[in-house]
Amino acid sequence: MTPVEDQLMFLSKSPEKVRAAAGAMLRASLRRAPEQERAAFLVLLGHLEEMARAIDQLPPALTRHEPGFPWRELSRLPGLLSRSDVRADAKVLRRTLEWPMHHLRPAALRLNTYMSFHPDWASGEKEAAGESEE
Amino acid sequence: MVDAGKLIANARIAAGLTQARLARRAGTSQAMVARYETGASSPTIAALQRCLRAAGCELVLASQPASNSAAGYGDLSRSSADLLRKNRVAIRAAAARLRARNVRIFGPAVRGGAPLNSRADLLVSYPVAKSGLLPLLRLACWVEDMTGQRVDVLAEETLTGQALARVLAEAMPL
Repeated sequence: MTPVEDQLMFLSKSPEKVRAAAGAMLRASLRRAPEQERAAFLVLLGHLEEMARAIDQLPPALTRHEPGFPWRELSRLPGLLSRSDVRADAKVLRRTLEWPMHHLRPAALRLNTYMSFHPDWASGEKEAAGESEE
Repeated sequence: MVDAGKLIANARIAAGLTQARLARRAGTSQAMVARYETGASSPTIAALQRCLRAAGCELVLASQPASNSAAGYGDLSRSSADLLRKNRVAIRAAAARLRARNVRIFGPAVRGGAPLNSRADLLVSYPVAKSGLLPLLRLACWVEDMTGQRVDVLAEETLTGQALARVLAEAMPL
């Protein structure tokens, strides 16, 4: 398995973990248990950071084939949530993650399929990148 | 400013070369040369130099101080806040498309002393409880793509109680 395929596989499995942590955070919030809510948030943040790292390792030439998915936004989310002046609200986070977590697995699997059927998918882009990264 | 694609096309035509021939000599593909010449891709200086050499020309570069900020290079001495303000009409329009309003700037960028390209913070009024944070992140990506300036976009609702008072006190309309 190539590193890109590894990242896609990792991303396709991420939504379950993210949803579980977001759900735990929301339940703690509804129970008015701030310490548990904070603990669940830190777990969620860890998952989001792992997800962001995986997204950052995907070549833009590949993610361009799923233009409707918010790759860049998800990649930036943990940075925003880590700010000391930002309040991590359980309901806002659930609302934020609802759509992308529903679509991440299918998007990652489609990219994997695309790579399988187009083994030379990166060749044109590599040339372009080679030209622009000199 | 001279277009790099035109430079390549002019040199190639003057040398009587096809795009494919020039590409072979420059160590690239015909498709890439075509992309340069049509402006679909911008060559790096090294790539431009290779293409021009392949056509028997030499690239000569020189720099000179800009006569004033309107020349387009004045931003190098400006603060990140100035850079964002310069683009405020487009930023406000982009925010409006996402249904965010009342765009303000806060943080080190308005306190002064923030070097250009340090992160700037924008504050908008936006219903994050209803729509989530993704539109704010999308706006941040959009502003960065347009200005080259790193930004975070926050809404009042995303701020902690303690930060909200401070931010509202220092926030200035963009």
